[in-house]
Amino acid sequence: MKTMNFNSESDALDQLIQQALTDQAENAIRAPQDVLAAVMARIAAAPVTPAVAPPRASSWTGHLLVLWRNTASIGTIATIGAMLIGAFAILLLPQPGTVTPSPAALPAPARVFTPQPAPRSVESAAAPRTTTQPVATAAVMIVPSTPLPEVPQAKTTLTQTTDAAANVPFGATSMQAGGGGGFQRGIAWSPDGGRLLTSSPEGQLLLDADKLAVLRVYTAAQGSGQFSRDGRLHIDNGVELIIDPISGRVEQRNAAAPVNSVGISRPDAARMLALTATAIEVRNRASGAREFLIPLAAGHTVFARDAVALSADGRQLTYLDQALNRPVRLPIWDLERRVISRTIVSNLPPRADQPSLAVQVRFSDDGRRIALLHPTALEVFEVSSGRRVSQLALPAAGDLLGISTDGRRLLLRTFVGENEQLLLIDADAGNTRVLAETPGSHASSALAFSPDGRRLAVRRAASIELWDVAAARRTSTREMQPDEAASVLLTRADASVLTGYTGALGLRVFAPGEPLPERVIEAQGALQGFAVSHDGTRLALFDVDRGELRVLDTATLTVLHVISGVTSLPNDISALSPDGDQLLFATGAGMIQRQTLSSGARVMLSNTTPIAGGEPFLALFTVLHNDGAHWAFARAGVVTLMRGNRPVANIPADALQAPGAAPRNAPNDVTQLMFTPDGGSLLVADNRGAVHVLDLVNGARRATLRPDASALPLPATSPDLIFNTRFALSPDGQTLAVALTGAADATRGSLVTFALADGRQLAARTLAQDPLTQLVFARNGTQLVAARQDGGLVWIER
Amino acid sequence: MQDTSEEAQERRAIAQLKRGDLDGLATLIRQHQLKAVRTAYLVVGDLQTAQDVATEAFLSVHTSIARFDPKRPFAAWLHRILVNKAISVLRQRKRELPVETEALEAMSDPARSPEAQAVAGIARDTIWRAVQTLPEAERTLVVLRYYLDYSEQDMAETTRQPVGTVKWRLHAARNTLRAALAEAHANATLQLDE
Repeated sequence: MKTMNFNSESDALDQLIQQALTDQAENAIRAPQDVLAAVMARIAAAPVTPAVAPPRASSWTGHLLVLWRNTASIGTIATIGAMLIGAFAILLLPQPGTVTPSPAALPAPARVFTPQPAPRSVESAAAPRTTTQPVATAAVMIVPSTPLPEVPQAKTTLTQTTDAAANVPFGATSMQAGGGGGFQRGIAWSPDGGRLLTSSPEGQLLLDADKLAVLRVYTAAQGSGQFSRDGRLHIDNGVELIIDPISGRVEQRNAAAPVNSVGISRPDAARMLALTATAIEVRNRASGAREFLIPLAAGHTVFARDAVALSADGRQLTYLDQALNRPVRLPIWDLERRVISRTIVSNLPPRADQPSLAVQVRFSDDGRRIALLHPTALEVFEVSSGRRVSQLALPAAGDLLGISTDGRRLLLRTFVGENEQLLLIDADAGNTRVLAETPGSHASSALAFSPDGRRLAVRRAASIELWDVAAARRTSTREMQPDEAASVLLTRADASVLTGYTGALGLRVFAPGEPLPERVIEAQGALQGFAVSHDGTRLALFDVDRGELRVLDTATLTVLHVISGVTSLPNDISALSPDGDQLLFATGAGMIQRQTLSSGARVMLSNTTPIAGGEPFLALFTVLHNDGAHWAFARAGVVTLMRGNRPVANIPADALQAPGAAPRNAPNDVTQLMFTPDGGSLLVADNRGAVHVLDLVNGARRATLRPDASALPLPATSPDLIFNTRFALSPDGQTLAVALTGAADATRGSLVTFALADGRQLAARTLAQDPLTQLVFARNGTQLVAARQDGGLVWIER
Repeated sequence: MQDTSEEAQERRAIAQLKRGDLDGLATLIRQHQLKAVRTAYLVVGDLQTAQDVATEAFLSVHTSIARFDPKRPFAAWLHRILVNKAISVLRQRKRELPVETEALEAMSDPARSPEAQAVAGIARDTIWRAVQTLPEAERTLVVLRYYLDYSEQDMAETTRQPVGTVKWRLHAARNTLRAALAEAHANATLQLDE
C-alpha cells in the first residue's frame, strides 16, 4: 500500500494544505453569495459618509430618502408607505444587532398608556398623576428598575497601541451625532478643551487640540468614544475601555448585553440609551441593569435613532411623537422620577396631505434646551418651561450635526448643489449664516463644538479641521492618512521608549507614563525598521516609499545621512553601532552591508547568499558590539560572529542545544541577538525558549539560561513546541528578562527573569493572553515594557 | 472600442466609485465577492460570519475608496481590509470555531480509487480541521499563504507584523498541520489495512 511521508516531503505538505483550503472553500461556497444586496442594504441603512456628496435632500421627500437610508430592511419601507397613508407617523428603525426583550420576562408594569385616540391608560396609585401625560402613539410602560445579572468586571494593563489590525470606517457612525443627546460621535473634546478624540481606521486618536498633533493611538479601542468630566476617555467597542490619557493605562469593563446603543450620558457614561425592536431602553452601562423601559405598541415598530435623545446628564429622555393631523410632540421623561415631566408641542401646524415629519431631536449638553429639526425648519425649546426659544425656516433640508453646550448655537449641514454647507444658527438671535462651504467630496463626517462654544472641530474623510466660530474661519488643518500601516518598535536609547507610528503620524518618542511625546519626527513616507544607537544619539529609519535609510540625530532631529537602495525587511533591517557611525543593513540586492557613515566607506559581505524576500524561514538579526569591532548576524538558524571583516565563528542553533536533547521536528532557530554591556559576551535567544551566553573570542557557549518549566504553564511534553523568545537586559546589565511566546495558548506572554551573573531564575509570571513580541527595560530599570503581537504595549513592574 | 476585460472593468468601476457612483461598487462586488467570501470563510470558519465579514469589507471599500491608490492592485487592498476584519471578528469571538462537517462530506472525488479517495479525503479533512484549531494569527497566515498565494512580505504587510514573525508563525502552523496529518494518516492506514 502506498504511504506518504509527510515529515520529509514539505512540498507535499504545502500542496495538501493548498488543496485542502481550496477544496474546502469551493465546496462550502459554490456560488457568489448575496454580498451585493447586503452591502447596498447597509449603505441604505446607515448613512456612511462616502468621500462624495450624498444625495441632496431639499424637501420633505428628501427626508423620506434620509429615513429610507436609515432603514435596516426593505421591509421597513412598507412601514413608511403605511405611514404615508395615515397609519402612523412614528418611524422606528430596527438596527442590526438589536436585542428584543421578552415581554413575558418583564416585571409587572407600574403604569401603562395606550395610543390615542382610544387610550387605555392605567396608572398606579403611587404615581403622581399631575405630572403624567398620555402618550399618543406608543403604548408606554414604565418599568421599575430591573437589574440584570452583574457582569464580571475585568481589568487589563492595555495601554498605548499602534497596530492597525482592523479597518473600521470612520464615517460609519458619525452621521448620527444627534441621536444620543450629549454623545458626540466621531469627534469629541476633552472637558478642558485641550484635547480632541477622534477615530480613524488606525483606532482612536488622541490629539492636542491646539496643534492637532497626535498624542496617542489606541487601536485596541475601535468604536465611538467620548470624554467624561474627569478627562478620561470612554470608548465603547463592545467592551468598555476607559483610558486615562495621563498614565496611558486602560481599564476594561465588560459591556452589558449587546443592544443598539444610540446614546450615552456624558458625566460618567453611566447610562446608555438603546433601541430594541420593541422598546426604548435606558441601561446602566457598567452593570447592564435596565433602568427604564418604554415598550412600543404593536405596529409602532419604527423609531429612527435620531428621533430619540438622552440628555447629557442621563436624567431626561425624549423622542418624536408624531401622527397625522396634529403637531409633533416631545414627551420629556424625567428618568429619576419616572414620569413625563412635560410635553413640548411643536409650533408647526400639521398638514393634511403629509405627516408633520420631524427628523431629529437633541438636548443641549446642559440639558436646558432641546432642538427639534423638521425638513425645512428648526425649533429650539426651553425644557423647563416648554417655551419656544426660536423657530427658523431653513433653506434646504439638513442634518443637525452639533449643538453647543448651552444650546444657543446649532450646526446644520445642508447640500447646495454638489457643495456641503455648514450653517451656524444662533438660536437666540434667530439668524443663520454659512460657516463653511466645501465640495461634497470633502464633506465633513463629524463635528463638535468645544466646551466654551468658541471652536469647532470638524472631522473629514482625510483631515481634521479647527474653526473659529465667531470669525467663521478655519484656523488649522491636519491631513490624516489613516490607510497607512502603523508599526511599533521599542528599544533602549537614553532610557526612552520609542514608539513608531508610520505614515503621516511620523515617529513619536514617549517616556513611560508621559502623555506627551518627548520627540516628534514627522514622516515623509511610511516608516519601518528602526534602529537606535546604544547611547540614543542616532536613529536609523527606513523609508519604505523611497527605499532609503535615514540616520538622524535624535537630539536635533536633523537628518545626518541618507542611504538609498535599501531593501524592505521590516524591523530587522538595520543596526547602528554604539557611536552611531556604523550601520548594518540589507541592500536592495539582499546583501548585508556595513557602512561607516562619517567616511561613507562600505563593506559588503560577499561570502553570504543574498537575502531574498520570500526565502523561507530566513532570520536576519544584526547587532554591533560596543567597541565597534565585533558584530554579528543570524540567518537560517546560524549565528555568524564577526570581528572587523573577518568571521570569528559560525554557530548553528543546533549546536547550542543541551547534549543528548531529543531531536525535534521543528528546526532550531535564533530569535534575537544582543551584546552584553561589558563587551564580553553575545547573548543568543533560540526558539526553544533559552538564552545562550557566548564568548566573543571564539563563540564558545559559556552558559544557557533556560526557564524552569515548572514555574510556568508550559506543556509537560511537547517536543515540537517552539517559542518566539525575546529578551531584554536591565540597564545595569545584571538582570535578563525573557519573554516567551509559544504556539500553545498557555505559553503566551510568559515572562521570566534571570540573574545574568549566575543564571539563577528570579521570577516567572504569565503576563497576558496576547503574545509578546518585544521587550525592553524602561528608564529606571524597574519597569519593563513589552510589545504585544496586536501592537499594544504593556508596562510591567518588576 | 471599449476595453471589456475584467481589469479594465475594475479600473472603470473604481473610477466610478471614486465619483460616488454606486454602480462602481456593485461591479467591484460582483467581481470579487466569491473569493472574498471564501477567503473570509477560511479564516473565520463559518459561512454566515464570512458573508458578514465580506459585507463589512466592501462597506469599507465604499467609505475608503478615496484613499485607494488606483495604481496599486485593488484585490490586494480589498484582501487586506477583508483579512483585518476577519481577524477582528476572531478576536471578538475568542473561541475556537466548529468545523462544518457537511462541507467535508462533499470532498470525495469519484474518479479516484477508493483507497486514494480515502487517503486524500482524510488528509484534506484533517488539514481543514487542524487549520480551524490554529491560533487566529497562524490561521490567517495559512489562508494568506496557501489560498491567496501571498509572499511572506505581502503577508507581513497585510497583517502588519514583521516578516520574521510571519515566518515563525507560519513555521509553527505547518508543524501543527504536519503533526495532525501524520497522526491521521497513521490511523487511516491502520483502518484501511484492517
